[in-house]
Amino acid sequence: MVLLVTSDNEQFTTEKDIVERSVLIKNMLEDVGESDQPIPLPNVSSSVLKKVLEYCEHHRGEPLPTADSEQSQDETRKRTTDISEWDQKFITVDQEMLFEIILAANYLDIKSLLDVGCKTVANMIKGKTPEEIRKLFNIVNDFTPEEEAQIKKENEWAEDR
Amino acid sequence: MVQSSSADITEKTSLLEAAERRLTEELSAVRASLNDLKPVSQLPTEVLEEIFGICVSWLFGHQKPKYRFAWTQVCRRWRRISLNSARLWQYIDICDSRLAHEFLVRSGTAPISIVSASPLKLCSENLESHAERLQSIDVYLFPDDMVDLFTSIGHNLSNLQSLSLKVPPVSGNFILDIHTPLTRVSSLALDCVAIPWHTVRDLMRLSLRGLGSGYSPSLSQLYTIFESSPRLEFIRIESVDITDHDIPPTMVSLPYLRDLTLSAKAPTILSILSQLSFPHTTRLHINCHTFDSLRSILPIDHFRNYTSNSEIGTIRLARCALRFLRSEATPWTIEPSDTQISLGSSSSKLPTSLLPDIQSLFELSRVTALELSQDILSEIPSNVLVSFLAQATNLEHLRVAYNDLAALLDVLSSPQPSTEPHEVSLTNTMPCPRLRTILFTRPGDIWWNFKEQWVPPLLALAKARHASEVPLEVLEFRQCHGISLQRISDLFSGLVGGVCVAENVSVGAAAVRRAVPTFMF
Repeated sequence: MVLLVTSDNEQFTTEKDIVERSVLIKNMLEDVGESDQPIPLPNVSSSVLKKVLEYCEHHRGEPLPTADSEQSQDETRKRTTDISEWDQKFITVDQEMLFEIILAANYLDIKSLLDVGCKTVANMIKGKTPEEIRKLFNIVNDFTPEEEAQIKKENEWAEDR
Repeated sequence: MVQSSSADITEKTSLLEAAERRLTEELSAVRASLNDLKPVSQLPTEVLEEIFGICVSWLFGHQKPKYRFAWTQVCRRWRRISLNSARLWQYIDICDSRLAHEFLVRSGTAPISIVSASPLKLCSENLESHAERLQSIDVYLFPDDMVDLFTSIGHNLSNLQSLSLKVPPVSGNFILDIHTPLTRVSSLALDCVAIPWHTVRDLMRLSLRGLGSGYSPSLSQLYTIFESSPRLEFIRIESVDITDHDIPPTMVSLPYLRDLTLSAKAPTILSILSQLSFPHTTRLHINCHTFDSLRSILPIDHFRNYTSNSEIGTIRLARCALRFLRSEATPWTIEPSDTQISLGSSSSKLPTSLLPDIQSLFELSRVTALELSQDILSEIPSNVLVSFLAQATNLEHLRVAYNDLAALLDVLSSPQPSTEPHEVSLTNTMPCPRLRTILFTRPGDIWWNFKEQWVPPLLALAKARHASEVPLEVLEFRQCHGISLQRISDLFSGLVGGVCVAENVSVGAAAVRRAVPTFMF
């Protein structure tokens, strides 16, 4: 069993093969060897870790991505945005939690969870105008008029042909 | 009132315009700071790059989304990250000239890949100045466009690692005169396109397809490629018409070969395999329209080394294919990685002489599982079946799809003369003495009228094997019509170790009634 301590000082005891889906924790465990020492996770809150562990538990035993598969996933052109049914349900959370999960997956180095998060955000963007995207993420248009003019010019060749 | 001079007005205008610019900039900066407080701004640059990478990938799909660059126009930060990340723009679709130009600029000095979504090439961009960055070409073009593309690239292919060329079938075969050695190309895929074969070496992946006589490499050229590519991992040769069959004098070893796929005429397959040596873990897939025997497509003698060291444990016989599966393969697996060797025929069925031939290729005593696909038993003469099962002395699991079982059940119920020389004419033994389980049928299939047709001879088999002290341990029925757990366990009680009935089939109002697999002992 492995003991994890979150940023808000909550402790989680979990099985090794579940947390080892995180490359960060796996490396830490390999470095310290057999030990009862808790592993501090100062960048992850308890509510987010709970979600992350739920994901890791569901996917326990599945093969971890290898260097080869990572390389092929890097091929921008051939990427898919398919998300499994369970993952879709899992990632149906409010925006704040979604971004927290992505940040945790990035910090803990859980490639598959990071993929699910990024695909979800990308799917939210898909087919929307810049203004719709701003509205979706509560972003303010911070371009100067000159920059707006440049973007408008760009639109002439880039869009709707 | 003193009227302002023109100079004054100009100066004042300049001052106001400067102030306007400063205010606009400040306003923009304040708005950017406001954006920094929003939850989405927590995402670091590398994560946003990842997300934008997914957005870029949609540009290469069949259905391009509306507002395809919208994410670059949301805010300053997103725009900066998008335009500064060269790797986002590294795939250059030469079918879209305006995008191609923009992508070439935005990719900066990053390595690039040339792709084409359809055989309509529209890009007139001169690629020579980008040739050094070129790491991959994957295009489907008409021959003239392909020539134009390589003319515009020039002779510098020194950093090219992957080359995939395809012309539309209507164009027929075509030779692309590349005279520059492809020194760093490790992945080569050619579909109806030939190149000077001497330029090819040090490959890890080779795929040749649809090359007729006069365009395909000769056998010696092919062997030269193999010899100069000792790290080859994947070879796929399909519909390649190699007319000369001068077998090279020495063996070529490919110690890293993982997959070898050959689809050609029998003499071509035999010639390619004749002097090729690869590890026993190599997966071999052969498809041949017609062939007389295994010897006409496989060099049996040196293949025995390959098969004897392999982990083959299961044989699957089907009308058009013969598969040797790995020992740990699950029943009726369709996972490609479970297949060690597959022999297929694009004609209606495999030659009947194949079965006796297997024994010359593979020690049948190593087979622990046999899978008989639909209707295969009607293709096998009974004397061949007897001989085959007599050799399979360690067979433990028999899995049978819908078939005429008469001959099979008869053979397995009848003691055969011993094959051991010292026991000749003294004892008779049951074939497959280690046979423990028989499973009917394949997942997804329903075997109608199973009970009426096959339970009586199956009962006779169970009795005969029980009497001969080689009883069956488990009889498993999946979707076999008429089989009920209670009746079948009563019938076979004391004769077999247990029965398992799954997904019981009835012909009542509910056509199929599902049940949890159950054992009774």
